Amino acid sequence: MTSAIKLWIKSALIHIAFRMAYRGEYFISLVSMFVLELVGPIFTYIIYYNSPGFAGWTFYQVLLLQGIFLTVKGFSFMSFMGIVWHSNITLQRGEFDLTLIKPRNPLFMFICQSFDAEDTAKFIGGLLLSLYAILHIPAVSLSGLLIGIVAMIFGVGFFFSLALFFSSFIFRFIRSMRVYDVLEAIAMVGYYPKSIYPRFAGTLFTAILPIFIVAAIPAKAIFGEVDIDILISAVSVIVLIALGLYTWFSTIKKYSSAGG
Amino acid sequence: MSYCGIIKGYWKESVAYRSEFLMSVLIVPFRFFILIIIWSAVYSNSASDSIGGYSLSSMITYFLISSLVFTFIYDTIAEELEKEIKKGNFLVFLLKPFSYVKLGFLKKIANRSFSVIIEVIPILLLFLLFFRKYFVMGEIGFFTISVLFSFVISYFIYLLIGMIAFWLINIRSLAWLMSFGIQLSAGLYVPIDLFPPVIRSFFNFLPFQYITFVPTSIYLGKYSADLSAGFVSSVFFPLLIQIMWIFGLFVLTIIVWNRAKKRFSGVGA
Repeated sequence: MTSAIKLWIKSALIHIAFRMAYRGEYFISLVSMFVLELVGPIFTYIIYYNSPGFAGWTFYQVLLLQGIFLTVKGFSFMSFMGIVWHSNITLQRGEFDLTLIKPRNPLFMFICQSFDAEDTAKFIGGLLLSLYAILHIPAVSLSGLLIGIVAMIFGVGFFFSLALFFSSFIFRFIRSMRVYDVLEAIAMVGYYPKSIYPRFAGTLFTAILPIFIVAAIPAKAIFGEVDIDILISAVSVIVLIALGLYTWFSTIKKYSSAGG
Repeated sequence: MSYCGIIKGYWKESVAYRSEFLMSVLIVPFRFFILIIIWSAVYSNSASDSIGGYSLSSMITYFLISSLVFTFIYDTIAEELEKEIKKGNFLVFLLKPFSYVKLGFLKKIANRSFSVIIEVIPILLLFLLFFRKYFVMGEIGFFTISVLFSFVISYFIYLLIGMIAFWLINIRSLAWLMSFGIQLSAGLYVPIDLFPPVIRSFFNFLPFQYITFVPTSIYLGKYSADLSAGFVSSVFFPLLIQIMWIFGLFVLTIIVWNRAKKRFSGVGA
């Protein structure tokens, strides 16, 4: 385990060092990555500027929700979501063989190779946005905060399962560049409170495709509202990860090395 | 080679990516579903049935029309020009009997006319199929003219962004950042008349609102076709401003282009 963490850190540092070779471009890229994610908060600001906003939610509560979402998304995209993009590139060139011959679990090696140095900005930006929002929210309990963090970890797990499914999809259908659009469309749901969605959508995004575990559930936990949703979504995430791993490993068995 | 021949060639190139286009079309109903949920929640919590002069239906129609306009005028010239300069392939275009500026525009006509068939019309039909009750029928004639003007304005803007690559070479991230600013001030994410007055006044000095916000506002009938209320509040005023921006951006493009070409070394990387 220790050697795996060391290897991952080493890989992350190599990716950052590589990008630092063009530090001006890297800096602009970091800023771009963060700014592009501000669409949600700007949209929310405009809503609250022109109306009372969402029932039962203040502007800063929604901002915290979006900050949490950005933190979890940023961490996931930085750490492992790159396998989706990396699958595209590697398979088109027929280079996945190089991953397979390395003396480590191919998924772990694939994750190490896919570290995304740009998405560190999303992660740090998300943390700063959450911190800014939390300073404007009275009465945040420590227990609520801890439960919220646990829920966020499951949120990372949800993104991991998505990464596995999308990567497997690309293994089967080489050159599917638009999978990121699908990913962003799913992510759009998680940017807003669960209470605004109709009942069937609430159930769908809590139990079957639990995107609410990324931010809506952690945010509620931080406000001191903990309910059964956290448990349902956590179980769903575990099932999705198990299914994702099964799908990914059974898909790579069919890898032909031909490129595309 | 005739202009039609060039457009035909680029059209065939676009057809090769039809599955990519289709995938994006399939995502659209889901995006609108979420957007309708969000705005319905906002309107149901509001004492008034109008926010910033928009009813729920006109707000949803605003997002539909502005996204269709943006799909139609969408431009990749900045990324393409950067790639040609970076690789040194731009040299090839200097040998051709057509200038790159002209070829780029013809390519855009081919690519975007294809997108009308495979993206714009299917998105509109899917919207009408699933969310018809949120659709507001608007002004078509002046809207079409305005969209054609925005097509030209956006081409010059993205070409100017691409030309930065003659100086900086690697502009991918800068282009993303600028595109975000353009889309925000063009009213693609939120109608710009909902922004606070200070920001709105700043946007008024930029040409970007004439890309999507103005055509969409014309569609929604925010401008009168009747001159009796005054020229400034009539539909002719924004159309005139669009023509002025086309002329201004054209002159700027020619000036920058002539300087930029001299910086190209042809080496590439």
